Amino acid sequence: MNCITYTNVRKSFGPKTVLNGVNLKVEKGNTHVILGGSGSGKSVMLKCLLGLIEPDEGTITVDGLDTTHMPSRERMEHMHKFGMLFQAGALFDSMNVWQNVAFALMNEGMKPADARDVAVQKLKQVGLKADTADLNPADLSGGMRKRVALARAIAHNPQIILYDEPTTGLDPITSDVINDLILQLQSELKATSVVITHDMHTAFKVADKISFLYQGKFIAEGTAKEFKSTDNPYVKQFVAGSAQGPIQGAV
Amino acid sequence: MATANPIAAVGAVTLQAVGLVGSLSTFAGQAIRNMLIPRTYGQFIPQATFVGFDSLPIILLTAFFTGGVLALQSYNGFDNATLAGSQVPKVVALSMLRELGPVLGALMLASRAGSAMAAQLGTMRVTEQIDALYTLAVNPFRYLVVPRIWACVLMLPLLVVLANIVGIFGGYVVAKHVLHLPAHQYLTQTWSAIESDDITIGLVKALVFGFIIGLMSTYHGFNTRNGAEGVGRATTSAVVYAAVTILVADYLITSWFV
Ligand SMILES: Nc1ncnc2c1ncn2[C@@H]1O[C@H](COP(=O)(O)OP(=O)(O)OP(=O)(O)O)[C@@H](O)[C@H]1O
Ligand SMILES: [Mg+2]
Repeated sequence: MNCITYTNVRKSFGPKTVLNGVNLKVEKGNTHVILGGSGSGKSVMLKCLLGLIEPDEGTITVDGLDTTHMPSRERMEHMHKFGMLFQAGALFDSMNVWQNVAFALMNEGMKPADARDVAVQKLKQVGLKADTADLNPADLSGGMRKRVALARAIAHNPQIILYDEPTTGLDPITSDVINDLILQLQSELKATSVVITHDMHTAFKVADKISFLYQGKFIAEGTAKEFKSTDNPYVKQFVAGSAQGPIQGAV
Repeated sequence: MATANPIAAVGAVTLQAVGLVGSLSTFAGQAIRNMLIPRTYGQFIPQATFVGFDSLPIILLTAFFTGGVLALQSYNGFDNATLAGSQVPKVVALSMLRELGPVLGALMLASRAGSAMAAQLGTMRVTEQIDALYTLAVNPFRYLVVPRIWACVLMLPLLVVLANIVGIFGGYVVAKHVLHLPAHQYLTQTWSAIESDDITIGLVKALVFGFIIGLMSTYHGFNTRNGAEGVGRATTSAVVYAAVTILVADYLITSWFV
């Protein structure tokens, strides 16, 4: 069953076309990786799904429900389904770590003391010790920020988890720890995940399926195995990380 | 954008201005509608503390010296000391209540609290914290904008009342110790000069100016674009737009009451 579908989604900013007819189906319970170069529109794609950006054309459905132009009140209810890990964390810098993680819970009326306990438990789940709970976001390293952001994204047990470049800017070992976390959360929460990345290790490790975004469209889709042995020159070049090939770097 | 045609340039500026007025009105309408929903008041207390309590020192200091300067300046305007003795308290009290209390208080609040609110919301916008609120099923407009506007609307009148008292006291101190006017007479003259209209007009101004400050700073902060540079621009715009709008509104309210 499809959990998320994009049908012919288009989005331009002024004269610049970013999404030019995106079609995608994400199966329920799957981890679907979106590959694509910098500026290819991956983040815009996720923001369209969340309603942070309204597409110019096309439809997006979630669990069979057309959410493309959902009015804001309904949308707020709908947001409970999602957990989103932002590319740069987007932690609330006016709150400490546990308040960030427990934000959605307290907003639903949970008592601060209980919410703190849940937050500490979620922090443990992403591999952070209880004593990080009282730190401020500004005092965290990049890897810790990603984990706190991840803990916040999963605190309300979402059915759909969206990861925008979970490993970018981290060292290879920390990256792999995050990859393991994604896999672990996947098996624990049984959620549907969309992972945006241009890190091939992440893609191959966590993906049930990979789609490749190029110039506003998906030009290839397959399993990790299929991507490793593909004949598609675009995918081949991207996987190999080579400057030579059909994809011209934006210099 | 550089354009060679001056008419096109004027047209572009006009369009921009019309666009700004349009989006500001939409924002204001949305704000007023949401301000009447009780469930959006959660963040009010910290904002009210920030806007009200934390602005006290700067606003009272300004008021004290304004009152003092008023006494000094108006004293020199009168031909003889007897006339001055009866008129200085009146000039100080009415200028503070009707005009300088609300206007200077509002301008100080815009530059202290308005700029900070715009910078904070702007930073939250460019670091995607506002988007994050939304994904956590919290309406960012209600959570961030509404309590800030309420804080400005309710706190500025309180600040202005205190500023007026301190301003009159500043005038009194100067009159007694610098101008050597009779102290007792100063207070009775002040008291008899004040009418209820003077208090009403000052409070109406403070309410309106408070709304303007809240609106301008949240509008510019909430709609920030282009990273750190955009945050700087939003902060400046918040203060400049608030100040100009306050002065225009001041004229309109005054002419309506006179
Ligand atoms: N709100 C916006 N207004 C104007 N242009 C935008 C906006 N958001 C994104 N863009 C443009 O859309 C393009 C795609 O941006 P997006 O952030 O989706 O890239 P990305 O694929 O996530 O890249 P990266 O891997 O570097 O994060 C960029 O050229 C960007 O400038
Ligand atoms: Mg991105």
